[in-house]
Amino acid sequence: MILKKLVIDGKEIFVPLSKKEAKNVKLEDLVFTEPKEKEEFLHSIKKDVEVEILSEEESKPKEDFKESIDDKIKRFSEKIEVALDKAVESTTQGVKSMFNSFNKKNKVNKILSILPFMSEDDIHELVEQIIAQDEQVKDLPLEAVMPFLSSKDCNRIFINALNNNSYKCNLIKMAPFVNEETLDVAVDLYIEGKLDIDKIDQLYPFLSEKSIKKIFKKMMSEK
Amino acid sequence: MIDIVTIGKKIQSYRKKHNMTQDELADKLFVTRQALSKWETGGSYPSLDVLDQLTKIFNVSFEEILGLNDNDDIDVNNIFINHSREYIINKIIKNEIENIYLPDVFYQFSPSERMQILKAIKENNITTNQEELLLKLTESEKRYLL
Repeated sequence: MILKKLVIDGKEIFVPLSKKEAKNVKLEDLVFTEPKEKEEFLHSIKKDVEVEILSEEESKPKEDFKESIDDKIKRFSEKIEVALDKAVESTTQGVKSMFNSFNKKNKVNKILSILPFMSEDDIHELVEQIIAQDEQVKDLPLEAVMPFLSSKDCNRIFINALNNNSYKCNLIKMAPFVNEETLDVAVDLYIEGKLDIDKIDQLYPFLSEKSIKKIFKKMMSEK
Repeated sequence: MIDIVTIGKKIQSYRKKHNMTQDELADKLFVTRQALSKWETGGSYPSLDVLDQLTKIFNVSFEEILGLNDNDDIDVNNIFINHSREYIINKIIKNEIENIYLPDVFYQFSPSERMQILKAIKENNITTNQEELLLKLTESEKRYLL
């Protein structure tokens, strides 16, 4: 099957295409599920290129006829080779990126599925990787990990997530696992101007009365 | 923790007291009527900036609009009625709901809420009849708790 890669709402999806439709799509956006199909498609592109070159040749003025047949064949082959190389490279990149994306998701799912069976040491190591922003755990949804962490680690990860925008994290989903003192840290960061009001807007239902009063006091002092 | 259902009820109550329609209040706040309706039904909550505007429009304090001084009225036989889920789960985790028998109500919680409560039990923040509760858990939840 020939698939076309589309990105919708930030998610990659693959839609099937016919051979005819695929020829109108950029090669880098195509993915082939079977090697045989890829070969056939490239062969058909090669044929199209040959036909195109031939028709170009035919439309040229007669002076070109002086070129020897060998030279013509050589020129043909070079053009076809360049076109083929481009096609192969784009398709290979497409397949590689599709597999990389599947591999990443598989890795994340694997980590999530073995979490209940991990020892405390392993979990602690995972926490350190998260805090160090290790590439291997970058896509882990932190709110799914937090039930398996100690309170201390939950608090550490939450503060780390507050300070790092690079993390995929939903503060609202993480907040229930964090104690009041840690949420107060978020408030203190906001009052010092080190945290956006957007994040505090997400968190305020989880805050203590004391923290809410601090926030409103700051808001009133700014007006 | 603040109950967003309470905030919504307060907004609705004050709005009606001031004889305003949802459209009129939404216009004053520069939001859509749909957004305001969602706040009033507890589906979402307004930003702090909007809360601040509401205190001025209704001439109330933020404590009043957030219901900070209101009494909790949790019906242990129907725990989610009149309260947001997050608020109730938070109360359970802090052991602040009296007379609630977890094994009986545990089926009402989502997988994520169940994990929050089980974590609190594991950390000895909640006391409950664990033997009875184990019967209501999935295999992976049992493994987690034991």
